[in-house]
Amino acid sequence: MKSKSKINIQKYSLILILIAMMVVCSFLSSNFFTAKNLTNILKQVSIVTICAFAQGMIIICGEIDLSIGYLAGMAGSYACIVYVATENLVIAFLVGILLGALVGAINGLFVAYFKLPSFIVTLAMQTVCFGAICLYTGGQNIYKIGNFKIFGQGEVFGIIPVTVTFMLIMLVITHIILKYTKFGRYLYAIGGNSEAANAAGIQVCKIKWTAFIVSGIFAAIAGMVMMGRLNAGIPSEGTGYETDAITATVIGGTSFSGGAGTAFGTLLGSLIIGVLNNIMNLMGIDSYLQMIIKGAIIIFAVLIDVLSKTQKIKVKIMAPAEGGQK
Amino acid sequence: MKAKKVFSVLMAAAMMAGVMTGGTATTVSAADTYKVAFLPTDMSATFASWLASELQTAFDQYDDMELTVIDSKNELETQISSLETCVSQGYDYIILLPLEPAAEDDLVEGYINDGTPIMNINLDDLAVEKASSVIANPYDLGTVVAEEAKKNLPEDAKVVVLLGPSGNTDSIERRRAYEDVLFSQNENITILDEQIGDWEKSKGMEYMENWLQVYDDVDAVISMNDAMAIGAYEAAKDAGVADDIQFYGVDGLADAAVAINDGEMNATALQDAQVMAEEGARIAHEVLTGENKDGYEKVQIPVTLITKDNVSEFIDRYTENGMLK
Repeated sequence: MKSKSKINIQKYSLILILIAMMVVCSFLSSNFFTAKNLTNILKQVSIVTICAFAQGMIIICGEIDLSIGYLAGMAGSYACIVYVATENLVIAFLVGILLGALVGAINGLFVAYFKLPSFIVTLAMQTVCFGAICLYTGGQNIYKIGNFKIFGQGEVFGIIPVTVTFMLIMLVITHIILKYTKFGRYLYAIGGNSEAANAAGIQVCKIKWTAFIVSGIFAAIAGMVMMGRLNAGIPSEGTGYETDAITATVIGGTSFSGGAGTAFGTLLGSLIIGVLNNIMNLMGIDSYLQMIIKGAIIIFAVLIDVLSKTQKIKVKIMAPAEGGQK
Repeated sequence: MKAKKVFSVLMAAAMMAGVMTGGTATTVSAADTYKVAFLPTDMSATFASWLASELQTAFDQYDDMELTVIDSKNELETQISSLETCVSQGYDYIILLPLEPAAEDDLVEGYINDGTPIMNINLDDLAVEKASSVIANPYDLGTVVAEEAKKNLPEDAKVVVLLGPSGNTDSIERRRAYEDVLFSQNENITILDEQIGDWEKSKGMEYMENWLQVYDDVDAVISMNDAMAIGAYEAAKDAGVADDIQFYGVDGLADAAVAINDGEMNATALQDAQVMAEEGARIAHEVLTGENKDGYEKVQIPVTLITKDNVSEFIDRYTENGMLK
C-alpha cells in the first residue's frame, strides 16, 4: 500500500510540472491559453507521442528501438504510394501496418532470439528502412496524395483533430496493454530483471519479439499520420523522431534501465516538450537560444522527476517479483 | 571468445575480397573510354538525385565517357574517402557535388596538381583556381524571388521568415539577397519573426501554426526553401487564412511546381539540374580530350523564376522525367 502512494506522488509531480509551466506560459503570452493554441500543441505533439508510446514499451522491457523514426518515414511513404496506386485507404493503411510489423519482427528476431544488442540492430535498421523507401522513390518525395491526407488533417466530429484522435486511441491501447494484459505485465518483469522473469517461467524471447512487432506497428501508424498531416510522402521527415520519442518517454518517468513507466507519463512528457516549443515560438525567442533553453529545461524536468523518485527505488525492485509470480 | 575472433577475421577477409572484386570489376572497362566519377552529397536528397540522373543522361550523349555515381550519404567524411578512392582507382575526371566546399578545397587542389582534373558542381566557393565549376549562384536564386515578392507585396507588408539549417551557405546567401533586394529597400516592411526550420516541411508547418496564434495579419511567408513554405501553407490552409497570405520559396522542384500550379505558392526559383548537367558533361569532355587547353572552365548557369505564368512547362518536364508520378 505504502509503495503505491509513492508512485502516485511521482505521477503527480509530472502533472504539477506541466500545470506550473502552463500557468507561467499564460502570463508570458496572452495567446497561449486559447482553445486554438492548445489544440495546436496537441496536434504538434501527437505524432511524436505515438512514437513515444512505442519507445516506452520497448524501454520498459529493457531494450531500445532506434529504428522508429526511419520506419515511420518508410511505412508512411509506402502507404502513400499504395494509396496513390489503388485509391483505397484501407489497403494503404494495412500495407503500412504490415510493413511496420515486418520491420519490428526483424528487429525483434535479432534482439530476442539472437541476443544482439537492440541498440545496434535498430541502428542498422535505420539505414535499411531509409534505403528501402529511397530504392523505390529514387530520392523523390510523393506528392498529390489526395485523400490520404485525412489521416493527418481535418477533424473528427468537427472538433478533435484527426492526429489527436489517433494519439488518444494509441494512448488507450498502450494503457490497456501495459496495465491490463499479461504481455504488459511481463514487459515490466523482463525490464526489471530478465533472468528472474525467465526463472519465473516467462517466455522472455517471445515477449520481447512481440514488443518489437507492436513497436513497429505503432511507428507505422505514426508515419501514416505524419504523411497525412504533411499532405505528402516525405521519407526523410521521420528522421529524429526516435530520439524525440526517447526524450518524451524519459521525461515521462520511464526508467531508462527498464521496468518502470506508464502511457500517461509518456503523454505528459511529450506535452511538456510541446508546451515548451510552443511558448518559445509564441514569444519569438531566437532560434539558437531556443536550443539552449530546451536542453536546460529537459535536464531540469528529469532532475525534479528523479529527485521525487529517489525513495521509490524499492518499488522498482519489487515490481518484477510481483510480475513474476503471475 | 576465440571463435568470435576467428569469425571476425573471416568476415573481414570476406569483405576485403568483396571490395577487391568490386574494384577490379570497375577497372575492366575499355581503355579508350574516360572514366568519370560523380560524387553527390546525398542520393536520397531530391536535388542531388535529380542532378545525378540528368548527368547520366548528359553523359550518354558521349561515346568516350563513362559515369559512375558514388554516394556520400550526406557525410563529409564519406565524401572525402570516396574522393581519395577515386583518385587512387585512376578515374580520369571527378565531378564533385561538395558537402562543404571550404573543407574540401585543399584536397581538391592537391589532386588537381597531381593530375586528376576535378569539377565542383552546384556548390562552389571558387577558392581553387584550377577546379572547373558549374554553379547557379544561391544569391541569384534569392534575388529573383525577392524581386517577385517586392512586386507583389504591399508597401507595409508584415512577413515571417523561415531559414535553412544554421550555417548553411545556400540559406545564408538566399537570405542575404532578400535583405538587399527587399528588406533593406523598404523601411515599412516588418519581419514579425524569423526562425530556423532546417529545410523541413513539418517545421515550417509548426512555426506557422504558432505564428498564426500571435500575429493577426501575416502578408507573406518568406522561406529559404520550398518545403518549409509549403508546410507553412498547409498550416495557413488549416486555419482558413491561406488565401490572404503569399508564399515564397526557393528550389523549384516538383513539390513547388505542383504548389504553384494549384495556386498555393506564389513564386520559387530553380537551379536547373538539366542545364547544369549538360554544361558539366561538356566541360568534362573538353578537358579530357584536350580541347580545353587550360584544363578548367568556370560557368554560372542562369536561375529561373517559376510563377503561375510559366509553371505548366515545369509540370510537364517533371512528369516526363519521372519526378512527378
